[in-house]
Amino acid sequence: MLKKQVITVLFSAVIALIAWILAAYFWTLKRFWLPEVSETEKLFIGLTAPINIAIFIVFFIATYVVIAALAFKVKPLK
Amino acid sequence: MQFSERVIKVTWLILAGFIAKIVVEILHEGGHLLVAFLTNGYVEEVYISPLWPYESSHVIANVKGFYAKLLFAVAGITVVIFFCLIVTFIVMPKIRGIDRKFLVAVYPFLVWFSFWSFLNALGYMVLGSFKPFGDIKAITTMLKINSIYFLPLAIILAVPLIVRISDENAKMMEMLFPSLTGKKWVGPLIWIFAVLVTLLVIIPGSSYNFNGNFVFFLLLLLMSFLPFLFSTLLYYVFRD
Repeated sequence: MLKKQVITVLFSAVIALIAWILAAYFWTLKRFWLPEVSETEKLFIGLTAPINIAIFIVFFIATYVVIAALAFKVKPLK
Repeated sequence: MQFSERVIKVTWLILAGFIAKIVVEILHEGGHLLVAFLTNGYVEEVYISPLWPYESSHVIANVKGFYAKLLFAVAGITVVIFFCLIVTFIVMPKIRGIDRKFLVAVYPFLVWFSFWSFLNALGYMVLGSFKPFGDIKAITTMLKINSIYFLPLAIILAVPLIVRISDENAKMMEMLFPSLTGKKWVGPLIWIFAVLVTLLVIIPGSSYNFNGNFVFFLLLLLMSFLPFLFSTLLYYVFRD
């Protein structure tokens, strides 16, 4: 069971990381008007923006819940 | 199993991987060539790179007309996907009944073929969706579409292929090395090579010029882990 949880967390984390970076780069980063700041610094600013951290959390939880519902046969409480 | 027999099998496994890689490259460029010949285009240069994916192969041809040019650009990836689907879903499931000696020779090649054709076509689409180059750039420029549309298309095609290729890899490894029978980690193992291949593509000096873009480096590296993680998820979580 622990192995299952670890793999599910890892998979969800990578999906959420990709979503986090994509959001930071294609959305937040394109809005910056900071000509003196390098791309890497811009990415760091984008990644630390609260909205992008929220995107990471939402994607992580969503992926985890979907996998858990499909794989662990979680049934809704009646 | 004798030590010498094991050495021969491992050597063939490595060699088959390299041969399959070249065959997939020839198929990709062959697709372009076929369209060039069918549309009476003038072929100027054909180059098959033994170092692909570090160094790209190419076909330079003078093809005239919008549809001929579009077909020429699409042909490489389409031919590779077509053969990948045929080998993965039709050839490999039916081939297991043949003579064992012949199977030992053919099966590793077919598994590697499906793996390399997967990377050749879908890897191309994923890379091109973020930063268009080669065929993807030609297609998006001609159709005036955003290259990011190739990403969902690649994901849709990737899911069933990852499942099938992992299964075939597990069966092929079990056939070559019976001691691996029932080991869950064998199936997903092949996808580790996707990470290594991605590293080859994104290191400085490769044909895919990143210009030191750290963001794409990070994104592609993370994405290269997905087939392995998805396959592991399948074996350890969904099928357990």
